[in-house]
Amino acid sequence: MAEESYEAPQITVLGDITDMTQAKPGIYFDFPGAAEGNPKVPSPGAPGTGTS
Amino acid sequence: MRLRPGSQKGAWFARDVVSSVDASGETILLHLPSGTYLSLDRSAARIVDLLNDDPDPRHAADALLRQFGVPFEQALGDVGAVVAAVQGMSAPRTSRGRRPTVAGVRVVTLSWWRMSARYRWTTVQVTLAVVAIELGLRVVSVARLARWMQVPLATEQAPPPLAGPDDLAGLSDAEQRAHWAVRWVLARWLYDGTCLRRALALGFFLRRHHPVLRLGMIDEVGAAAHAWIEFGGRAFDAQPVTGTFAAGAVGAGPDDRSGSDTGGLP
Repeated sequence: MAEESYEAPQITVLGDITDMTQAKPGIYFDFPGAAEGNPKVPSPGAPGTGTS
Repeated sequence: MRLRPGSQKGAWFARDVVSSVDASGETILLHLPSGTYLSLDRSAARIVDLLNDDPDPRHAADALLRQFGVPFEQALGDVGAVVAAVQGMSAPRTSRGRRPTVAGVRVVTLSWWRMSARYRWTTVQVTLAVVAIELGLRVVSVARLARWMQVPLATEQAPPPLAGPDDLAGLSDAEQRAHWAVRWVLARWLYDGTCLRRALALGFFLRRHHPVLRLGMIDEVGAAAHAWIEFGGRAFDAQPVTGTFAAGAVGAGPDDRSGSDTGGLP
């Protein structure tokens, strides 16, 4: 095992768990074209309904 | 924010922390009670490792003295500072809420009304679950909320999931509708539809399969975490990650990753 050096420990805050997870762009209430995109409900498992 | 000497001292509980590495090989620690992600340098990671093995700060300081020749008092101070930082540092939660407009409510309501009755009912159920999750995230730790949602946070070592489309085989019709509805609702939710909310909601509706919640760091440069669920050898909403957050083995560097596909890492 390589010789390790020791320096004063440094810790940095990255973020909160509720914020650091990814958010995907959505069709929000203020998005005017929400109902124009795909008003028909896709069947489960159809392309685009899985993970992106 | 940088390390500040301890203003809050407490006993060390190894069960309160899980760790992973990011794409650059930095050790990332998640303090479960506060839900705060912390980046540790090698010295801090080493100290956390020692504390996970033995929570007595004096024993950790003694180990630093033996391994690195650090004067005992200095080592004890560093150990105390790390404990205080892990337990005391937190990041502000940014609530990115959206104020719905009348026109927006109208189009979403129309979109909902065009669904079949079954899908409408499923989206109502999912919405109630998402509201519960939103409230839960504000009052309890993620680990506790995950237990409440019956998708407990897994903290054992596990290989990264294989990214790909969700495999819905074996799910009931109602579960497949819920799988679709979770995305539909969160894409229209008043707050960011993050993968953590998605995983908790989906795990709740697939709870009869006994799913677990997993967390990892996204396998690309930058500090971004990902949450997904797993059961029966399947991962839902999987993405390439550097590894999963797990208890113990904090000081693992980039060369020590077990089971991680790191070939393409910078």
